[in-house]
Amino acid sequence: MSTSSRFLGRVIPALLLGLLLLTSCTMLPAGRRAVVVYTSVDRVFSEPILDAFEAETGIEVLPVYDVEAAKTTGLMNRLIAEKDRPKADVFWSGEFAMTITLQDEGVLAPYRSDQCADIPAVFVDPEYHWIGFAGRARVLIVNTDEVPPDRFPRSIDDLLDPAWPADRVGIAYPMFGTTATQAAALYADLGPEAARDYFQGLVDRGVRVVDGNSVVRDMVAAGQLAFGLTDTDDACSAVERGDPVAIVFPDQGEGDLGTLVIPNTVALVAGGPNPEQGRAFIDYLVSVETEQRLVDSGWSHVPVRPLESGPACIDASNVRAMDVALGQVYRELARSQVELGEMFVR
Amino acid sequence: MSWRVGWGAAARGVLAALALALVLSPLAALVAQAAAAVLGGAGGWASLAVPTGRRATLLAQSASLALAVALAGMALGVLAGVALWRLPPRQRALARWAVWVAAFVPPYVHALAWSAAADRLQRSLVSIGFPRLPMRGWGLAWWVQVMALAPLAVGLALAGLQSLDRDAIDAARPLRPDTAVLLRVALPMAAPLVAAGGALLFLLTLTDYAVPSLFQVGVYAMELLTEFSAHHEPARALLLALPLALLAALVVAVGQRMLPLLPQRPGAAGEAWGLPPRWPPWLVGLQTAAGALLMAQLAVPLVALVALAVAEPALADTLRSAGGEIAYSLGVAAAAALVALPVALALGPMLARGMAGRGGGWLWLLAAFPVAVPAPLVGVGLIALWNRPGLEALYDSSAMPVLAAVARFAPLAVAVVAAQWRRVDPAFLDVARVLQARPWQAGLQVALPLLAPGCLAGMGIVFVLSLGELGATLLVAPPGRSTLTLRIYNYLHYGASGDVAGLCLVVLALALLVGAGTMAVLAAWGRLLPDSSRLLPDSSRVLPDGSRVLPDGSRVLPDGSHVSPDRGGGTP
Amino acid sequence: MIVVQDVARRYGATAALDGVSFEVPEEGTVAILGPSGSGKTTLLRLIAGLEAPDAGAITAGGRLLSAPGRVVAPHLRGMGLVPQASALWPHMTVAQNILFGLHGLPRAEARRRLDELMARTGLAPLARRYPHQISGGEARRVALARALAPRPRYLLMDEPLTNLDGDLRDALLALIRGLVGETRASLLYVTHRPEEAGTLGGRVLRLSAGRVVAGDAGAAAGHGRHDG
Repeated sequence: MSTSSRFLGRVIPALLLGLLLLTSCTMLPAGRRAVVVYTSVDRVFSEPILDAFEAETGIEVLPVYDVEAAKTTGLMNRLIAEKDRPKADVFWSGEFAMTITLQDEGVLAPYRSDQCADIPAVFVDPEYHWIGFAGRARVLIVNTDEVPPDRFPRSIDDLLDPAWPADRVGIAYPMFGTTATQAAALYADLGPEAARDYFQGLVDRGVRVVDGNSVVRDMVAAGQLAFGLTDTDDACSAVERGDPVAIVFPDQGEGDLGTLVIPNTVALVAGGPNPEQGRAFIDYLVSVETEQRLVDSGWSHVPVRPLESGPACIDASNVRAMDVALGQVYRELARSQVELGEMFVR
Repeated sequence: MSWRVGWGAAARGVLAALALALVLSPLAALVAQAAAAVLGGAGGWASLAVPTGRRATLLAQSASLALAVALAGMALGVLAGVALWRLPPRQRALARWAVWVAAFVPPYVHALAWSAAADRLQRSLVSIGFPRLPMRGWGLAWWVQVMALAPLAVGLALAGLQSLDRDAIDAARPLRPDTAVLLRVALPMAAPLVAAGGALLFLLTLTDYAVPSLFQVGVYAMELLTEFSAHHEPARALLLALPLALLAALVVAVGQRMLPLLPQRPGAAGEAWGLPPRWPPWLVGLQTAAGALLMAQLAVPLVALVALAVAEPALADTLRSAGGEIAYSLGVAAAAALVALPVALALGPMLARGMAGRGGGWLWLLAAFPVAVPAPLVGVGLIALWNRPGLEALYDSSAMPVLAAVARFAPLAVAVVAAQWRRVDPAFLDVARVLQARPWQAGLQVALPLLAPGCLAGMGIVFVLSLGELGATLLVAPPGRSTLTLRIYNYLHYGASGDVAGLCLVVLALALLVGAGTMAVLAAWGRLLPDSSRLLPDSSRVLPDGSRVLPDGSRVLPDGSHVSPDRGGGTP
Repeated sequence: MIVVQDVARRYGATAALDGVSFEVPEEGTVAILGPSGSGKTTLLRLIAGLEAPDAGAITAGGRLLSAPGRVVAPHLRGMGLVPQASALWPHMTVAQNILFGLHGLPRAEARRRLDELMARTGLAPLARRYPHQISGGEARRVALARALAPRPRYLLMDEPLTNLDGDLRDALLALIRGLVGETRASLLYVTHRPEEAGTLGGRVLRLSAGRVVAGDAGAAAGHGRHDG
């Protein structure tokens, strides 16, 4: 037999054997105490919570993380696609639109946790399909090298102000993520026409539209933008990094719109493989202790109930939140996404 | 003997059908879902498949951006290829390998690096009085896309230039100056591979939304994503993706027509030019510019990555904690490459043979579709197919990300093997079939080794692309398991640039290792196989000591040296 | 007249040619006989200017063409080359292949020469065909016509008759002899078959392991000496 065939005859079977071993080794063994958590919260923040739960309860956590580049076509679509035979026990999201969508699709099961007794009713689904906690806010992040404090923007309308050159202010695409949620909130609060006018104004001016909240933050921090709209967790990570930025809660004046507060949400998946462990995890997640931990880690800055200590990077104790119901926001989401998609993608 | 022949053909047919099923099944599941939705539900869904008005404009914009990137890539590839040609063989091999490794760096890294560089440039220009230019638009998107994909074009152009028949160049040089030889002989003969590079760049640009969105350029792929995000119905997204897929298939169909032009004889061993060619100053200038661009293409992201990584204090911890993902990514990518091998072997020769006949075009269309379907849709198709009672053993295992990678990238390996098959002299196989003692000997001992370079290249491509796969893996990775790319993109959202840079460097190192390994194996394989000219069926005999007797009575010893006939008197 | 003087060419440690000297007289014919690997093709490539010698000099018509570090470009040497495998360019028709070397001429003149050559070589019916559509013997004729189109002073051929059988061989033989005689070019050809050396006429030189073994001027053809 020639050398080459000998080579092939030995190496290929060996590699195939290795392949077999690889796939068999990574199969989930049955009958272990585990809980499967699908989470869209940044791994840097969610992983410590999952590890802590595992340490405290001995229940192994098997996580699936989301990625922003998938633009919400990731986990949510996975849950919907798996609907007939769910693999997940719990869904933990950094906002609520995905969660309510899943509720509409029939993916979720109701669970009323003891731990959520002190959470205001506005943050909890009336039928307990999901629970909101540990809020984030939509804020203005401002570069302090470029903008003196007396000239700080104070409202989202400042994005339309001609005093600021259009390519020096920025937002993320309003069809995805929390920016989409804010757009839907504007649709719900101001009415569709006024909201459309606002965004059309942004397009007409030629405001910078980029690929995500973290990009807005990075560009403001680097001085490529004077200010932009982003989330509190993104903004605070820049502050902690020591970047020359400041955070402004927009529209705080009397009679103004208010700042949009977006809570984390957690929900039980209907028909999941480990419902008991799932419920235990939800109890853990919505407890006061965990919310404190999330505030301390810098993920949440607007807690839904009074805590021992507030967030380090900003004072959110007197923030005036936008007065709009989460369900209402959700209902505007589909329309706002499509209309803004047509407006911004040309 | 005829029943044996029947078995062989049947076995090959079954293998081919299995391979085709493996690659196309997720797509088929999606199409079935879409068909059911369209037939059973409201009308108006079919209108998604035909772009009108705004969507038609977006499609045209996507196509023109893709075309511009492909053309620039080909030009850069040819110029850089010709420039690299001047290097001595060892340096040239090193340059070629570096170019292919550079192909791995994720486009997002290029986008960030060039965006930052452009901004810095603009600031210094503004400080000396220039007007501020907007950091957005077609120009920037085109530039970044070309920079991100340039290594692919350069690598393929170089391969095309390397494969030139030395005799063809030799015959041309005494007749006209070297520039004319380059333009009229060398480039046309290298055109098939150069065009393959252009087609690849076109496809990858057409289906990309990340880079255009960063610079606010409206493209059809973004529209697709918006739609999927708003309605999360795979059927709608699939229909919307149809025009894109058809456009991609068209490009592939046109490209495959050029395959017959690939030289039938492998290029003669050794340099194609011998004495270095003499270029006029303007050509040398262009080549130098291309070479400089190529170096910038590698240097800018590397510098950006390293600068970001060393600034990160917690980098070592991040790398340590990512150890599991590194191993997992390697495992999944290797498994995908391994599975792609029999797929490519089963379908490649079929594709190459079928090209001659009518069926060939359709086969190529089938091969092109998976490449153009957006990654998340492939994931959804896999879930639809495999998430069933009784299949938990498969669905909960790591076989799923492997299947996702195979479905998306195996067609590329098939194409490479098909191209390699075209270059095999059918005489080799004919002789082997006549001489073989057992039915599969010809295939195993002759065809397989001859296909080896193409197989290795195909596997390498699948490996590298699987390593960077994101959209489909996200949907089917078993809970508790994560790949390096998933972690990187998760961190990107968080904005841990230092960590991202460090992990990207790890990915780069992995690509380097695999690239080096593949090149080494290819080189060793070349030594295993004797010079092709000696394999020509010239009725030579093989002696027991391994030497061969040529028709003129002289002998070729096993070490390659030649001994004259040892009989007295010449034979008239 | 081509004069090759002490030419050497090394590839790494191996010496492909090691001090080769001979002459090709004006309008004369020289055959170089040598087994595979003896450096015949390398020698032809050196004379054609496709490689540079490591030592020695090559002159033609009194003009220095090649010396270490100094090589006149291949297209300025007045030479025609027919490689061993014909090496027709697959993307050009037969006519385009032949026309390639006539680029500098006015169109009418080029066409005239093309028609003349194709008639002479019997290639006229194949003018529009592509190389993959013609036979091996026809390809040889095209390669020959292509090399001779610009009327070079010297013609270099690598294994002109190898792998051709009986009738084809004789036909090509006659064609080569005829064309070379008409154009009055000097012919230098290499072969590894002793029976072919000398069939095209002229002196026969023997090349073995990089050296000219048989004597230069005046050495007889016929039985090759064997090295055992």
